[in-house]
Amino acid sequence: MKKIVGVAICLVLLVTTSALAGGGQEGAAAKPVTIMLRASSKPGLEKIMEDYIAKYPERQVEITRVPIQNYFEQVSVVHASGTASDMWEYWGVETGGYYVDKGFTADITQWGKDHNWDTKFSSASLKQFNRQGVQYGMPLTMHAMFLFYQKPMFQKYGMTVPKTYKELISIVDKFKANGISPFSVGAKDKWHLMRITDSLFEKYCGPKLRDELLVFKTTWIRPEVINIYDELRRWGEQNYFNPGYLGVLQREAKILMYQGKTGMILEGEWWEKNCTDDGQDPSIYDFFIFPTDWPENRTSVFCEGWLFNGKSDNVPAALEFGEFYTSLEEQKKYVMDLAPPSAVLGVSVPAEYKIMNKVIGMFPTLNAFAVTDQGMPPGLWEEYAFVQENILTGNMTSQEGAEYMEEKGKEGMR
Amino acid sequence: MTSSTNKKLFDPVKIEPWLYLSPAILLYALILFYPVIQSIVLSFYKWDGMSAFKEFTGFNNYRILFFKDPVFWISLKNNTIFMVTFLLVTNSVCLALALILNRPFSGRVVFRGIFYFPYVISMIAVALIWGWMYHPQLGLINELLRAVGLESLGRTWLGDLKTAFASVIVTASWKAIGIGMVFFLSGLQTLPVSPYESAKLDGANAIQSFFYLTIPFLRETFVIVITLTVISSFKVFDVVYAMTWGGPMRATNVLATWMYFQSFRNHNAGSGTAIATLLVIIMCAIAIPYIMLMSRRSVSSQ
Repeated sequence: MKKIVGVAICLVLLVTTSALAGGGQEGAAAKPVTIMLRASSKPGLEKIMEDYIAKYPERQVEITRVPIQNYFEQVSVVHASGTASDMWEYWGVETGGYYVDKGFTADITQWGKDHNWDTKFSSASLKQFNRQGVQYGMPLTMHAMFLFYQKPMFQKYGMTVPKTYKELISIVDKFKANGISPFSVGAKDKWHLMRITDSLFEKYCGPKLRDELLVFKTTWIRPEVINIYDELRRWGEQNYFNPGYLGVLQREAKILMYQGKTGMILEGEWWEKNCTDDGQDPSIYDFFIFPTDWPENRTSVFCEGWLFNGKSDNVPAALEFGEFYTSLEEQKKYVMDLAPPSAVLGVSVPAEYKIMNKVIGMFPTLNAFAVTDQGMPPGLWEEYAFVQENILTGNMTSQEGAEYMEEKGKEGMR
Repeated sequence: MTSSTNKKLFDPVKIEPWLYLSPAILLYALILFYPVIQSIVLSFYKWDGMSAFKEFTGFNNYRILFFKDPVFWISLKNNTIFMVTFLLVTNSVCLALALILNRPFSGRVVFRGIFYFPYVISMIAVALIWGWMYHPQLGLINELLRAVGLESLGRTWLGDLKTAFASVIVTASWKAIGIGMVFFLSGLQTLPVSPYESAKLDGANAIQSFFYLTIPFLRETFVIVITLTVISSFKVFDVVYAMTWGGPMRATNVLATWMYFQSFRNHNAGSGTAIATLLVIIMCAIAIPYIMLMSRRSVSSQ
């Protein structure tokens, strides 16, 4: 009996001590600003944090880095469990818009106005984080997609930068005639193949229709979509892509480009830094916008930014840190550690990054469309990727592909 | 009530063990039972996995899985193929290896180590290595086939519908052979010697000894290996996720990966938890009767 009472008392003490251990933080220093971002992203953040704390010793910042493979899942889990950080790195358009619609983001429109964001950030990047007039994100970077090629290879085969889609196809045919796969694609990373499909959508639909299709504002069962899928299938049948592209990752596909086994690759301006990091010579590469035969000749663009937790009471402090992070001084100081190009106007990169500087120079006049994996509602872009694969393997006809997308758009995946 | 009745209700001898077990039971309940029950309950809701609002939809998630979700049936088929392949092929290889490495010969310890080694590598690392080996242009497999003049046999192993899932199974088998071999080896080492001597005296050959002595003696080992094979076949996730991400065209999805994508990528937690519930039911439906049957046979043979 004594033993039982003794054990019971121990249990009660154990439970009580555990319950009390978590508390006791009342009356401590100002709440730290908590930030979540990808593990591989923006190594300069910690450096900026140090500068911030040096300037404001009473303030604190806590950073959590999550592996990229799990990042989307982690973001949704922390919001579902109410443990989301004050601010987190994310993308805009429909990807970030999903969190706006669910009420997880703070409305920072007034903050943006008070801090002159219209002169601080590029308008294209601000637009990516604006949903029906509500500014919900602070832009950090802006990236654009281009077709990169090796200049020596173009010279060798007497090619010039194509201005029209027809000229692009004639270059493709020349590459094929010389035993070189025209495009390097790692379709196992669906978004890499998606860039090609997106470009064909832009070409056959034009800006207005393409933007409407992206958010299912119009029917997908239409001749333009059928033509796109017919053309995509033709690209696959005519071996425009590297052999075995369906089983290859993007990081494997770029090696084929380095080896000169493929002619072109649809990548972002980071291609230059990739080359440098991979021990390749970036100076042999140049780029052009995928010709779509429309006056706007848009290219796909996406931005990264900070989103702010609408359920946090620490958003003002988080915004203060965000402003410091995106100040011209800090952005210029650590530019190459912040995944440039910066969305902050006036931030250039070192002169040796010729391609990146060229792209930054283009930004003010660049016409852009959102990449599908961010511009389409979450879940629906997976269906877009599913259809593109089925079209290329002949498992779906173009009509079936269009009908499938129409059906999925109606069902909605939210 | 009398004091003797009170004693029966509050018998210290009977209650004491439960008191000592209670912290573990509480922990188990919190981290296992509660999430499982909650998961089953969530399978009756339409929920995006984040919002506070959940809509009760009854069996709708299950109805959609069974009648409107082709990927569910592809995943179930793939899990079944995985299980059958592992049961018939992989385990046979494990047993064969164990039989060979149970014989005394110099260097057998080294060979045991070599065959066991893949098991200690993490599955993600294995998937990355084999992913490179399967590369259509730069991979070892197609390169070797080219070198011996069999270029026509080269494939887009992970990008071709016909070969993608088989390629994943080969990778998973390569990794799992070591542990199966170890189980069978430990079983073989407990076999009594005298029945084999008697059988030899009676004129039985090696094959007859194997089927009439070794297999029956290894019954307990088979129970363990088969049960673990069934469970691991249905909960397989990492090798598919790392090698193919369920593609191409969702054709290599298994139930665990489809559950993951539905829950976390498609914001369809109701469907994801329904798949999880079905997964548990399927595994129990296969494993429990088998274990009970084997246990009954084991008791009756004693």
